[in-house]
Amino acid sequence: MDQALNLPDRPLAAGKAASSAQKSELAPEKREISGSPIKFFQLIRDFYCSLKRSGFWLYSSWIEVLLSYRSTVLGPLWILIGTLTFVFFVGILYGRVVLNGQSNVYTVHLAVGLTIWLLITQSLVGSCHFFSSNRSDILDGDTNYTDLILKLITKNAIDFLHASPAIVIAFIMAPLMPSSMALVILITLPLMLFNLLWMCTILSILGARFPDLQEFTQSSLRLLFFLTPIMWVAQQHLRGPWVDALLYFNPFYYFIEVIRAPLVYGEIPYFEIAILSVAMPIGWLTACLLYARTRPWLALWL
Amino acid sequence: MESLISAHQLSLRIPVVRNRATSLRTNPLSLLADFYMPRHGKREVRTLIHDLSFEVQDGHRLALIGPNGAGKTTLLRLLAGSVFPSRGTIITRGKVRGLLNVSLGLQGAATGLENIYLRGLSMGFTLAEIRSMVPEIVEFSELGDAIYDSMQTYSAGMRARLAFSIVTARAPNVLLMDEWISAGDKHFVEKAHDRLQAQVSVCRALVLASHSEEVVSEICTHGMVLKSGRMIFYGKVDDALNFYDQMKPSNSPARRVN
Repeated sequence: MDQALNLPDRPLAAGKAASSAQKSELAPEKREISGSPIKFFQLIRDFYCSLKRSGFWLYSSWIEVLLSYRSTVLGPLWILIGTLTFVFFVGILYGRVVLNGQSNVYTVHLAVGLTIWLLITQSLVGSCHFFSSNRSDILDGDTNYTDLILKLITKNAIDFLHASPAIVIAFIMAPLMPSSMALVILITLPLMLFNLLWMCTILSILGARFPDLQEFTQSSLRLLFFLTPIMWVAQQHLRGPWVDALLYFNPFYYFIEVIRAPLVYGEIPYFEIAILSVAMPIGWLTACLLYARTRPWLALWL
Repeated sequence: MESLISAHQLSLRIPVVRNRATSLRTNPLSLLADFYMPRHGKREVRTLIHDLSFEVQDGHRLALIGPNGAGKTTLLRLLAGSVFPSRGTIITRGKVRGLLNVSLGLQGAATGLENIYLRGLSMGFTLAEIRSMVPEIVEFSELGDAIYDSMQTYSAGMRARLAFSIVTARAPNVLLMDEWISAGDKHFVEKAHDRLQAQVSVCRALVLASHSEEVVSEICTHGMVLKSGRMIFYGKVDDALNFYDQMKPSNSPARRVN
C-alpha cells in the first residue's frame, strides 16, 4: 500500500481562505505515544506536567465550588456553618459524656478531627468515581489523569479552608491557646496531604476498574468515622490491646493525630509522624507501579 | 519533509464485557440474576484497530472514510493521545488539537465568560492568551452582553455558537476533527464554515473523520478507508472515495450526491 504519497496540496474551494493561507508556525512540541510498557515514574512525570499547567485544575476546582453555592445567599459559608453546628451541639453533649465535662479540650479535639476527617472522606470517596464522571474530558479533551486528581484534591482543600475557621472558633470558645508546638503542623499538614494524594491516585485508578469500590469505600469510611478518635478521646486509662489495635491499624488515626496532637495537645507525635513518613514513599511507589501498569487501559475502562 | 504524524503498526485491543443473552422462559431466575449480579457477562478482548501504519506529511489533509464502527473516532482518539495504543507507536510533531466534542466541559451554571476561561484552560492556553482571545470570541459568537449571563439562560443556538467560537479561536498545527462541525442558524453556519476553512488552511495537517463525501472531497487531499479497524485503502482522496463507493453493497442507497 502506498503510504507516503507526495501529492501537491489541493487548493481549497473557498478561495478567500486559501489565498490568505499563511501556515501557522510549527510549535516545537514533539510527542511520542507508544504501546510499549509505560515508564515506572510516569506518574511523577504526569504530576510534574500538571503542575506546570496548573491553570486548568486550579480554575475548574474553584469554579466548581463557586457554582455549587452560586444560587445560595451565604455561599460556601454553609460549609463552615455545617461544621460549626456539628461541633457545637455534639461538643456540648459528648463533652459531658466522654470526658465527664472535666475538660474544655473536647470541642477543639472534635473540631480539628472533624474538619480533617471531612477532607479525607470527601477526597477518597470522590476519587473512586472521579475518572468515570469525567469520562468525556478524558476521551475527548486534553485533560491528564493527574490534572483530574489535583482538581479533586484542590476542590476538597477549598472546602477544608472554609471549614477550618471552625477550629479557630472552637479554640476561642474553649477558651484555649495553642502552644508553640502548633507550628509543627507546618510540616505535618503537607505530610498528611502528600499521603492523601497517593491514596486518591490509587483509589481513582482502582475505582475506574472496579465501580464497586465506591460503595465499599463509602461504607467502610462510615464505620471508620466511629472507630477513629474523632468523637471520642483515646484516654490512657481506657486503652487496652483491642483499643490499641483499632487505633494503630487505622491509617486515618495517623492522618488526624499528626495535626491534632501538636495543635490541641501541644505534643509532637513522633511515632505517628514516623509512620506517615514511612508510608509516604511506599504509597507513592505503589501508586507509580499501578499507574505505569494501568495508564494505557484507564480510558478504556471508563 | 518530515511528517507531522507518523503511526507505526498501531493496534488497539480493548476489554469488553458481553452480557449473556437471557430469556425469562428458559431461565426464570435470570430476572433476579440480572438484578444482583449485573455484571455476570463474559469478559473478552476485542481488537478495534489492526496494525495501522501511515504518515501525514506537512500540508496533507487526511480524510478517514468508512462505515459506522470502522474505528474512525477511535483512531482520532489515539492520535489525540487520550487513548493509548496496545501496540505500535504514534509520533506527532507540533501542537495537536482534537475538536472531537465541541461542547465539552461547558458548565451550564457558569457564565459565558467563565466558560471561555474554563474551556480555554483545559485546551492548554495560558490566562494571558485567553484574555487576548476573549473579545474576539465574544464578537464571533455574537453574544454581546449575554456573555456575562449564566449559560442556563442561553438558547441551544447561543450555546453552540459560544462553544464553536471557543474551540476554533486559535488554529493548532495539527487539527483532528470528528465530522465537520457547525453551529447555529443559517447565517452563523456560513460564518462557521468560513472560519473552519480558514483554520484548515492555516494548520499544517488535518485529520477529518466524516461521512459527508462533499466535505471530504472539498477539504481533504488524502483519504484512508477503514473497515473494522483495518486500513483497506490509502491514497488520493478521489481514489479513496471511489474505492469506498465500490466497496459499498449495491443495494444500499448511493451516498454521493452529484
